[in-house]
Amino acid sequence: MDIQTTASSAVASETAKSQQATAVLEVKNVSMRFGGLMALTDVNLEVARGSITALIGPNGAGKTTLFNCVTCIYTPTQGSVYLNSPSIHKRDGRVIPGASHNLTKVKPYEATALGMARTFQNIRLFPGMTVLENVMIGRHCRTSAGILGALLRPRGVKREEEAIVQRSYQLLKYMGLHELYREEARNLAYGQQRRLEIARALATDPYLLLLDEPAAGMNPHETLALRDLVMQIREEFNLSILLIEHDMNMVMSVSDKVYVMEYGRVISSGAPAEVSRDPRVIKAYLGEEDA
Amino acid sequence: MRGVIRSLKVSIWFMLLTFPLLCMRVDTLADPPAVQWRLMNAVWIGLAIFVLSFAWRGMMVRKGDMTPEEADMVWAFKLLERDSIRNWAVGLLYCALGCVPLLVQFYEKGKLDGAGFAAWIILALGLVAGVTSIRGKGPEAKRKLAFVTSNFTDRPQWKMIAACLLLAVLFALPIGISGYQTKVLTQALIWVALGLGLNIIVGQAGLLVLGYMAFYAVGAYTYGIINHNLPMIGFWPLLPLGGLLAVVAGLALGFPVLRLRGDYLAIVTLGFGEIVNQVLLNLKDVTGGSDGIAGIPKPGLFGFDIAPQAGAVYVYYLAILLALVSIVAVGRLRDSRLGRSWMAMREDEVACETMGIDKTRVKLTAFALGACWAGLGGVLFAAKESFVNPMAFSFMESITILCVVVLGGLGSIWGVVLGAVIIVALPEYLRAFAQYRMLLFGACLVLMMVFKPQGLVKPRRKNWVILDADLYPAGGKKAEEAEAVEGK
Repeated sequence: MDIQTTASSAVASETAKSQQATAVLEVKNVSMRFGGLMALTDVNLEVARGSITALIGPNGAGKTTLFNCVTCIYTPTQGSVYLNSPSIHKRDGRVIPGASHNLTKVKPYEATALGMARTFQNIRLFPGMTVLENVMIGRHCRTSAGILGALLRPRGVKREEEAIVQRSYQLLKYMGLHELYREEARNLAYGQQRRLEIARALATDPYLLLLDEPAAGMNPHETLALRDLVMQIREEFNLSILLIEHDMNMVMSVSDKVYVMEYGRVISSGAPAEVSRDPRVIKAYLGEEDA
Repeated sequence: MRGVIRSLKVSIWFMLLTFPLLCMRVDTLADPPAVQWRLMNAVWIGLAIFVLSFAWRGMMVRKGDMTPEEADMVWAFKLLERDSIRNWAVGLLYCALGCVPLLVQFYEKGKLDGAGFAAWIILALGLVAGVTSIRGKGPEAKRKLAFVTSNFTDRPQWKMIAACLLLAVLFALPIGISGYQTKVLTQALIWVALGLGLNIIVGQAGLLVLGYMAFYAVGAYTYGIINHNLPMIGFWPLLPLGGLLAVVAGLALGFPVLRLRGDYLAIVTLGFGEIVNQVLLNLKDVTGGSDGIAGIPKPGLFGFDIAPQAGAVYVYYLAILLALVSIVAVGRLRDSRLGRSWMAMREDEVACETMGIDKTRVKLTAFALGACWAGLGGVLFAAKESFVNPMAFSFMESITILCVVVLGGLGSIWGVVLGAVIIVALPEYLRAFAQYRMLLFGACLVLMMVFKPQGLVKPRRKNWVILDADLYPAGGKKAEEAEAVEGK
């Protein structure tokens, strides 16, 4: 660091640096037991701020179980998950410092309010609601109208509703789905449904986005477009992304760090190139050589 | 401030002027003749003149004889500049004008007869004018352009007029029909409110409840028991209390069943309904057991006594009011942030939770609000029948109200209204077929479910229409509309 910088800017860059260094998500020694089955054993994982971290592994390795532990759908049998929120710079110059949240006793909806959003492996949209309404649901945790607001419809509530519509529509436009906004979600093509799920997740204003096999069922062309989209939303929305994926091309080209899981354990982690050379990973994916 | 002082002076002046005429009365029958002081009259006159003097000065300003500053009415004109407030003021004025002939009739004759019909028509027209101005579509209202609009904003005027005329006919009906038929209609209207309440739980939130009548019973017995033991507490304070206790009952049922869904939920709620019914039957000291509670009074009207015959008509009007309020309220709930979250919960509970919706809270509000309507309906039911016993809240009734919702169309407000009228009125008008009545009724239901299983009316909800020029190919009508918006 330049010695000549003034003290204040030094402090500012120092905090910025520590921000950069801290992980958004820390999974510490998490184990998950379903009856006699150890689905996760002592898993450690970190998602660095602003990074795209991939989680790969053969089917049944426990990737989605880990996702469900992180998003508080399951409570881990042991260990804990920490979500570190970034400091927020308000328009009036105030800075709300970031904080570390232990997610062990947090409910899924509270985790979303903290700034974590996810998509599902088997798409879980609200099929009977319109495309626009699906995204509007994402705004729920950032808005506040209650029963009285609904019954009396004061000005503030009307304005809030219109703001919800506008923001949701902007997101749809960003995802290229705006022409379909009045369509029921069930009528969308598969790739469009995937994109709608991402739009809905973005509507919750997250800083950590968890994507569970976003490229599943897509053809190579669509996967390529998805890869660009993931890179693009990371920049645009200032996101850190944790990604489960089977498509190796996508994983290798998009991620900064890769974790490999097998039988509920992390067997390898590191940069994509390192991981792909790791003999344990090759063994897990291709089986042991007989010779 | 100057205006207030001036108005005060004027009203005191008028009080003094009219004092000998209106506030003193010589009672010649007393011995010796004495003067009666009616001081309240002076107060009323003072108040009326105080208000009127403001209106007077307002009119002077409008005529141009005064500036708003002179009249000290700048605040009032500022308020009136705001569209919504002016529309409300105009609308309420129209409605009040429509009410005048009606009130005159009601107080002069103490009841409504054929001549009242004209009054109702005037009221209906007043309502049309009033409601359209309130909704900002009167002749003076400017069309507001925005980024978004909805499929509900462009409601054609004829629909509004038709609705108001229908309302006028509903109001005027008791003149032409017998007391018995009025009672049937009242029952149908109460069931409209009930059906709409159940529609929140079953149709919107997707929670199958089979013991809904338990909440209805809570409302009815609130009025029955409290009024029986403390006769000075009448209908009006007990109406909100009945609703509130039903909400408490809804929450009491809601908490234990939070984790359940589908069939399991249905069975637990069935049990709940049965428990309430058994308590009503067996807690004889409080509820009167199977004999129920009799002699529940009709509601009062600002301290006026109403003849028993007119009482039934009065309850009928209250039922119209309850049904109307329910229709509006349930519609607004459906199209709100809360209604959206109910729908999301119905569609996919896991996804709804990960999208930041507190499932517990949303479920409990659905139970509480749904129960609230049953409680209000129950209080009105007790007032209508003057008698409550557990028979009216049996399992059979819970199933019938579910029929109303399913027959009308799950989630559809107008469907439920239609369903309630059919389910309540049909068995009554099938009485001509004597013992085949329930058979025919059952056959109607079966046919209905075979040929229109999704219910009579398709559910509608608010759909936003976005006026974005990008959305429409250039040159189309929609495109012009969108451009007009962009230009603003």
